[in-house]
Amino acid sequence: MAFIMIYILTLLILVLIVLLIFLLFQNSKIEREHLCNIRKLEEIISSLHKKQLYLNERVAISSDYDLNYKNKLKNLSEEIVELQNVFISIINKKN
Amino acid sequence: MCLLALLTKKINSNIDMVIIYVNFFVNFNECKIKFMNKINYLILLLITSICFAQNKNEKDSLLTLARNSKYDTVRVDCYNKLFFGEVFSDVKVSKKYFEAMFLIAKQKKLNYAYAKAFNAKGVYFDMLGKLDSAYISYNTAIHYSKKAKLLSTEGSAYNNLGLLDWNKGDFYKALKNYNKSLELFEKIENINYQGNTLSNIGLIYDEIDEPKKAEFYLNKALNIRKKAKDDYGLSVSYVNLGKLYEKQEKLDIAIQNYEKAIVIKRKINDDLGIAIAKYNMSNSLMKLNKLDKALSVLNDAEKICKENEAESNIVENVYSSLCQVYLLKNDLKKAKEYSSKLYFITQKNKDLERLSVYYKIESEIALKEKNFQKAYIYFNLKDSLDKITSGLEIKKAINLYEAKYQSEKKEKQLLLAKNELIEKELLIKKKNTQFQILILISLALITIGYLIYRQQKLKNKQQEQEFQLKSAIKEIEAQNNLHEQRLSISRDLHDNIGAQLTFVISSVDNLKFGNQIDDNKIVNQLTKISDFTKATIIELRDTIWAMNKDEFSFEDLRSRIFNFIEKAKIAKEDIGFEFKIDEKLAEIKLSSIVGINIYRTIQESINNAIKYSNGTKISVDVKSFHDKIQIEVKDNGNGFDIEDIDFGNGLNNMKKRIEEIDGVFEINTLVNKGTIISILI
Repeated sequence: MAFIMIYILTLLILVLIVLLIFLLFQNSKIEREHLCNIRKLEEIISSLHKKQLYLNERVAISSDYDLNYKNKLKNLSEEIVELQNVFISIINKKN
Repeated sequence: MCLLALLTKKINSNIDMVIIYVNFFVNFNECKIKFMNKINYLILLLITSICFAQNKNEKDSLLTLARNSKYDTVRVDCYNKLFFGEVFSDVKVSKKYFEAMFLIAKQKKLNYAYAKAFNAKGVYFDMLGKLDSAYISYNTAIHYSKKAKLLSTEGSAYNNLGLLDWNKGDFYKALKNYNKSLELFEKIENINYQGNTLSNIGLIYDEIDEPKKAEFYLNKALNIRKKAKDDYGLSVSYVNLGKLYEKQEKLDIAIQNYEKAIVIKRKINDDLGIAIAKYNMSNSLMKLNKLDKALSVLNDAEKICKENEAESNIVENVYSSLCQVYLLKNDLKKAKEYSSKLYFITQKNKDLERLSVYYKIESEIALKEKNFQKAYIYFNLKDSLDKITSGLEIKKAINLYEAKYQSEKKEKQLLLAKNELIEKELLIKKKNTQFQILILISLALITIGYLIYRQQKLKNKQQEQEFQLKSAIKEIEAQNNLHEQRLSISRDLHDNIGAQLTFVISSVDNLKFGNQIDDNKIVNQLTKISDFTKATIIELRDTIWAMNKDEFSFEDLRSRIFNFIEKAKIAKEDIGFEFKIDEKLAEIKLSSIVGINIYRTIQESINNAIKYSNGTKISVDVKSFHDKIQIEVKDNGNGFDIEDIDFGNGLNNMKKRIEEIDGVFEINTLVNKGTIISILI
């Protein structure tokens, strides 16, 4: 009886050891997969970040132009208004 | 007689008398004087007591030391010596010595003294034949020896008890006591005592017909005595082994042992010992039918006995053996002669055992003479005597079987106890194994639990991390989409602006050149509007150029600046333009924002120089400076006092653009000394 019990317990230990090794292997596999995923995501983030910087630059250039354009158009408007005034004063003189 | 030699030898040395007493009894037994009646025992003691007697001077000095020494143990030892010096010559006188030891023990409460005193008292009672009192005294001696941790005295007491039991025929108890004694002597590593005790154990086994055990112990004793260089003991061991082998009919080996014994005894001048060995050897020779040699050996023994006045029992043995030899040789005359001598000694000693031997010899002589009536009478006498002594023999046999029974019972009990112990050990071992396995299982379960928990935690953490990263990606993607949409809208807007501005320019040019306008004011105004619009279109083209490029090479920038300077040359022919660029910089790549900001700043600087400096020369110098790019726009115009002027939009924009791309913007100018605008990127 005792021998059978020892036999069963030994068998149980063996099963547990196998389970233990399996779990350790699984753990290390999960860690590897996770690291791989993280690396891929980081690469994606890095490329997206580069693209973002590139787009930001373009937006900055565009915004800069828009600002200048507004100023220039304001000046142009003033010149046109002045031209209109010249025309009005000429018309008035003719009348 | 061998005992006598030993005692004489021992007396001459200064060995404790207790030891002598132990040895005395040991050798007493080894001489096979056992189960003798008390009278013989006392006779022997009286003879040997002569040897124990101390001379007067020695006795006096011991007495003085015993009375005057300040050390109690020394006093006790002295009284002990005096006791053993006296006990074999005058038992009554010896009493005062152990009483003196008791006095010291009582006064000083000294266990050492009690132990020795009780041991001496035991010997005293033994000598008086009070065996029960002796027995009690030895046991009390053992008790006090244990208290005083006096192993030698304890061992001696056990040895003396063993002797008492052996003489009573209680072999089992005798063996038990001898074993205890042996154990103690082993503890104190006294190999002389060990040899004697082992020899006695061997003899007891021989007596209870356990030849293998007897041989084992006798050989063990022999080896120990060899080691101890105890020649006397060694010779006795050879004799004992000779007798054992003779019993087993290994006669040649027995003779060899006797011869060895004789050689040693000659060496130590133990003549009586030689006589005993020779007598024993003659028995083996007779069995081998070597009658002449046996006779020669026995004659030698007789001669030695006569020369040394040997004790009667040895002479009895020699005479009976001589009778046997002569009978076997059919020399009836000589046989009768020795038979008469034997009768004389047996009568003197009242030794029934030897008397029976005498009757047997006489009967055999009568038979050889064909005197059947005489033979019949002697045979009847022998038979009657045997019947008387057989009562004693039966008692002895009962004791023998009792000893065997007790021994076997004890062995069985020991075996049972051993089995029980082994079973218990096995049970404990099994339990231990089970416990160890359970611990291993528990450990494995804990580790598995921990691993599962860790795995789950790791998964959660990983999912969280991946989720965060994915969220970040989505956010960036959303932002990028937004930027792309904004850029797409702004691209459409720029296209519209370009078309509108082109329309404005063409309308203004049509107005200006299609109609005859004399008014200078209107012409100037229209020119101004046209220039303005053209500048805006150029700026738009620059912006589109910058936006369509992922990155600039310095070569691109150089050609762009060069175009701009060429246009400026056409517009201002009186100004000399110079443009220098370091060829090393041609390969440098710039981002579009850096490129457009540098280009705009250079453009603005040249415009400012053209508009405000009134200089005749404008130079642009681009060079490498400590891993950086240094750009200088220089004119030889009026210059200005930097503290007096207020920075307008143009200068501020330039500074802002350069700082935006992490560069350094500087203006170096003095009135009438020209202006240098320096950019370091």
